[in-house]
Amino acid sequence: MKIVIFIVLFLHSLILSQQIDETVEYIFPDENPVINLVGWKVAYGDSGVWSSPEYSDSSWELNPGFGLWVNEGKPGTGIRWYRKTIFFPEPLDSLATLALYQVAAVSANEIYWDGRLIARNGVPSPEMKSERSGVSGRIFPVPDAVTMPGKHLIAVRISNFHTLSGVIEAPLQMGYFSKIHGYLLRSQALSIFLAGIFFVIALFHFAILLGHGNKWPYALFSAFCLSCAVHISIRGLLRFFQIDLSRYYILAAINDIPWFLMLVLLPVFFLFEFNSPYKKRLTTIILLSGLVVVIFPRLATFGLVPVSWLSTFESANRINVYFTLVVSIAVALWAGFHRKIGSLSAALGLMAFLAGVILSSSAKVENGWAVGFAVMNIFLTVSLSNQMAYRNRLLHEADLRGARLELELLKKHIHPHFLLNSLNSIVAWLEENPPVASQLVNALADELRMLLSFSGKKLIPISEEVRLCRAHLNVMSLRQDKKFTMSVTGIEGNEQLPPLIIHTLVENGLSHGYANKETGFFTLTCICIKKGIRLTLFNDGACEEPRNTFREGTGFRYVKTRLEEAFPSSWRVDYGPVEGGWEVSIEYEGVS
Amino acid sequence: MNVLIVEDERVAARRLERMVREILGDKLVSIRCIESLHDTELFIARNPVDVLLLDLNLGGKDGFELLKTAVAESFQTIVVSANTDRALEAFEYGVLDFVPKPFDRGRLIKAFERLERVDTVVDHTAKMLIVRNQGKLQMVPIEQVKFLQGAGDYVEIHLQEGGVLLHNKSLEALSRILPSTFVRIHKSYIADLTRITNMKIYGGGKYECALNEGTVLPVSRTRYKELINYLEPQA
Repeated sequence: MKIVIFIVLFLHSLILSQQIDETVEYIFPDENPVINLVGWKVAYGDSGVWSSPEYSDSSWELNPGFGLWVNEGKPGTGIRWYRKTIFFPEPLDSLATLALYQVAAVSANEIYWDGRLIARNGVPSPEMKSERSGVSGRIFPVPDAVTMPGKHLIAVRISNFHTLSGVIEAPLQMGYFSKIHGYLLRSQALSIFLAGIFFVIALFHFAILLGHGNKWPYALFSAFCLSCAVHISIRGLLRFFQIDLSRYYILAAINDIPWFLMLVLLPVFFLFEFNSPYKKRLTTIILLSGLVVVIFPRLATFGLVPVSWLSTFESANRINVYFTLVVSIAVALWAGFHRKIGSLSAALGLMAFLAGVILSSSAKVENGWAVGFAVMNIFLTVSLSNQMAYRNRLLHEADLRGARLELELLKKHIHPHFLLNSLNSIVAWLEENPPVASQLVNALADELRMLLSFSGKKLIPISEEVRLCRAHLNVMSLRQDKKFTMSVTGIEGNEQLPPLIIHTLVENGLSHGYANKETGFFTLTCICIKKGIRLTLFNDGACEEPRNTFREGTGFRYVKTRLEEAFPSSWRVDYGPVEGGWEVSIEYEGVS
Repeated sequence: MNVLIVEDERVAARRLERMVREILGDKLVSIRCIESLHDTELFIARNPVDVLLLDLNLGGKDGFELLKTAVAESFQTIVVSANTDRALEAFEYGVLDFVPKPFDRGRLIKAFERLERVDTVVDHTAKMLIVRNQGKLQMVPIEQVKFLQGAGDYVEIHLQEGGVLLHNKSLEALSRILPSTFVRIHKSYIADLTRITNMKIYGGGKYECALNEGTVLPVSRTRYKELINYLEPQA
């Protein structure tokens, strides 16, 4: 027993002592399906002995981070070597084959295992002429014979004449062939799945946009989903379809456009959809930060910005993702605070996405972000459909309100009290002078027919309105046994007005100051003014009593409501006593 | 009988006048039609009126303004109007009747009958009495009225809180518009039946009743039996 413990301790100290050698990395393929190989020693130039494990690379520069770069990020020059020593502490699975996976490594490269060439992607060469570019997304099996436990040297010979980029973005990865293959299949399936989802959602919201033309924030969300779909598709294409490396980096640069749109459109969509304060200022900030984090790293891969800044940009990029998500969540929560429809589910969805992003970057939960993304989309779709349902309800209510207003209009203008009084007068005339009774019946019928023909119309010609007013004056003349007349000047025939406005004013005029008088006359004058029409209605009713009732009356409320409905905030009504009577004037920016 | 018609539509006014003349015949002393509220107020102040026929929709200005003034006067008010939706309100103010337009002769006859007969079926009654108190109109809810006592041309309204207000109408006229619990117990008294706690009989045909606050009112012999019949089911 003691011996066992001693051996374990000895082995442990052995391991510890060997870990001090920082160029040697311990690899446990049985524990990690896919291992990123980072921390390579780099040398510029070309030599046959550099592939040999016997050669000492202690004078070589250590390349930090997972990315590799050549020629300080400047593409198109010479050849470079990378060396890395790994250590298998235990024997590998004898039934599985070890493999290396390479997303893309500039133009061409060769991989040596303990000095023996095991893989070639393209043909690396110190000259442009003889270099042949490789393809992306390669898996190279490592021969079983060379993967015995212990130390191994991996050396990579890279040349770069055919790409514009001087940066290798993804690390060389190692693992059992079957595991890498499975991992790639899963990523591929996820890419297709997500791209499909986003295409469908983008189409869905685009369709909504077509249906509700005025809801342009939906265009933002539709564009966001489309950007997601395009970005994921191109990324999948680059990783899983073997793209010629001379084109790979151009395509990768193009794929920055949808990535930028993804970063920007989501928060901007929420800002405008929920109509948040400072939305324009925040949009500018989001646009600028998005541009910086997307453009600068790409400039670095083309050698236009010092390549050593890349790691800084990587953090900036991550921070920017959090920033846009936090802005979106803040907007959704603000909207929730103001009880805007759909804001709560939007906030929940965004939080799910944020949790997914945090999980996959810190706790290394594979595809956590994708799950978060899917959850967010479900919530956002719920949020948008809630809002749509709410808008539909509003629309429906507005329709109902319109119908109710229409009913009220009929009730107000053909109200029972008007009809009953008229009937009473008809009875009185029947007893007194039957021919006049029949005149009154005809006059009443004229007025009712015209009232009915106006119902449901937003605007009618003023000449029609005048006909109605004359019919009404006719009825009232016969009812009161007086002579009411109306003269009209300035109407050319095509001026329009909401229905029953002048009628309401005439009714109001009739109810004041005609006691003990035998006649009454109304004058309607129409003048074209700068931006529309001025209508003036004069009547000769005596105004010995104050007319407070006019201001407060339902009739005047009706006039105001109809004018506002037809000419929003571009109308005015004035009224007051004038010499010999009372005058009301209406100005509006109507079509004349 | 002096009749005043307030109606802004001449044709309707002429018809009313014709009908009133027919219905009242010789009983009619004077009849007058007025078109405006202003003229009406002036006329009432200077001329004797027994019945006012009032159109509630007087020329746009709310006829209720005039109605409140009218019901405080000594004459009875009959509303003749197409605004049937306001009938109940008019009754609550204490009008004698509400004749909806258009009407026929029979309906108007019924309204005039209510002027004189006690036993007409009353479907709506006053909820308040409007009195002119120091030149201002004061509304007295019926619940606050303890009893009414005739005093010459006026009626004293005795209130629960102890005050007394004068009404221009006669006891007879008020009995037409008050709720059925207000009963004529004596030539000069109307009391709220629900307030009577007990009856006392003295010799020589003298009767009295006591109200729940302690007031004692005389009861006439003829009314006594009716009153007992009223009260007994409760006792």
